[in-house]
Amino acid sequence: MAPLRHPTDHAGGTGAPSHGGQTFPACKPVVEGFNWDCIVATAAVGSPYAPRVEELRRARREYRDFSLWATLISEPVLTLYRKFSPKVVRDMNTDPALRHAMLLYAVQPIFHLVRVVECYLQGASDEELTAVPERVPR
Amino acid sequence: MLPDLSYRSAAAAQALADDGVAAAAYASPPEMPADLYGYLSSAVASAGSETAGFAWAFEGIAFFLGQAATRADNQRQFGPALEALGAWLARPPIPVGASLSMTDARDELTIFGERIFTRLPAREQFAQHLLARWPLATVPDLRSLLSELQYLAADTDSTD
Repeated sequence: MAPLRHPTDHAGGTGAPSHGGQTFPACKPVVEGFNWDCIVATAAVGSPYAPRVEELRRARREYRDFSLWATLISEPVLTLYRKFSPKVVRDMNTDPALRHAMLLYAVQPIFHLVRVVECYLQGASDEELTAVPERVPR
Repeated sequence: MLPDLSYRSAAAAQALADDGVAAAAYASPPEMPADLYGYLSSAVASAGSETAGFAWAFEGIAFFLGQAATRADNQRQFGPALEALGAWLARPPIPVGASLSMTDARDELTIFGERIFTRLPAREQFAQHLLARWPLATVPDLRSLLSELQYLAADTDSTD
């Protein structure tokens, strides 16, 4: 019989199963390397698997650790993000107007900004940088 | 006798009305918090004191929205997008307690020069950003390293 869910840990499951003093290892994630970060973008777009959210996640992976200085610069930002983002997500989940505003005026601009920066890093010209972007599914 | 067009006109009117509803929904932006960025700023500030990274990110959003506004205004002459973007990238927030090791600096400047600051104006601006944080009086060798790695021209004034 599976153990009962912990009475105060609503996000957790029943914990790792154990039998006769033997604790079984936790299951591996379905997708290696997957995590639930970018939760504000996920809440705004509606899915952690949305292409735009995947793009943000990829960009974060790619740039946060490419050098020591990149890590030093990005880590305080990510630490702060991890602290305040759950509250923002809760607010977005209870206020559809806020969720919509976040999508329009924060998440989508950031998504496009990342694309523009990557064009810049690839040596784009001014014209290429300001060209109409291809449509990207949400 | 005029043909009876009432059916068609009613259908057309309905179609227009439907379009009108859709257009009205599109034209009226959804109600949003009076100050979205104010809300975000307070959320960020409530989580910690080192908020420079998010201030920098907001500047990036402002850059993008500014470019979008220029395009929406049908201006053919875009702002100097490359220059503005490079200037923004060259001012990343350096953590308050960060120290500078010259050994690390050589490696890091080489990596950044290859991956981020491949354009001369942005290289110079990044160099000035570093010198503003670590002036000659505190890190005497930084300027010569920046010159050696071609972030600064040999005769560029420092910000010391």
